Amino acid sequence: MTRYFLHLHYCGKLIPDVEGREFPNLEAAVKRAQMEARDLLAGEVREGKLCLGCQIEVVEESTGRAIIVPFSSTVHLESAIEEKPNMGPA
Amino acid sequence: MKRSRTWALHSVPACHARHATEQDDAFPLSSDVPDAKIKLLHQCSYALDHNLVARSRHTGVVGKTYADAQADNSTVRLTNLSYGGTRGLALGIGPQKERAMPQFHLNVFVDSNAVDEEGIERANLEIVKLEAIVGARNLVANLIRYGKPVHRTHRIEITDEAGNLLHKILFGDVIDLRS
Repeated sequence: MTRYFLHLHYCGKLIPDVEGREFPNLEAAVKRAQMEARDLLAGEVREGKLCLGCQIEVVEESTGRAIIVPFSSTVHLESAIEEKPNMGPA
Repeated sequence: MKRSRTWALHSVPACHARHATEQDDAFPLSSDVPDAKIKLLHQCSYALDHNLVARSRHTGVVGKTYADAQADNSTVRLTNLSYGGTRGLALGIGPQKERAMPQFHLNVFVDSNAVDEEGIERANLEIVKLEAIVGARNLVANLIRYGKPVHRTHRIEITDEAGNLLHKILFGDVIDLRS
């Protein structure tokens, strides 16, 4: 297991992950970061806002390798105005 | 809240919905609970066949089931709600009486559309709009949480009892998007 730090860059503020957490690999750490990003966004949406400019920086302790997980990459917003045939009431 | 509202809401943990009894009423909710605290997620057809109990606010009588209420034409309202940090399923059974307030239906149009057959009684459309906005935000939040696509054009439509469209709440309109 390798230790990874998930630093949160949240609306201009850096919230460092000082303890870190262990994951089997970088992919698992990134997956966790994506999940946490979605949780934060879901909380925001309940208050009526959605800030997609924030991100989580995943840093591998042993190598210093870092991967950025932008919040915008964790949400699928579809704005195409494509009415489905069965959308209207019967 | 107006005195004319007669709902007696009792929270039943959703996980116990099939076997709900009076003791599952962790925290009785009276009609004095502000509307803002009742976050309407969707009309829950899930529990229609379940033998949930409700207590009359006025008489304290316990034991009327959903089936009983349907049989004697009592007014019934079934919703998911979130209150005091606890989520649960709430069942409200009112007495047989003429409606003091107009009835509105909140039909949810997402990938799987949900027609609100029960409806809710509210004093006016503005109150219903606020509830629909809260409901839409909750739906969007759940979509995001589970990594599902959010369509800005998905919506909640508010209709009156005759099915006339009164207002449309687009998901894209209830969230202030910032980048």
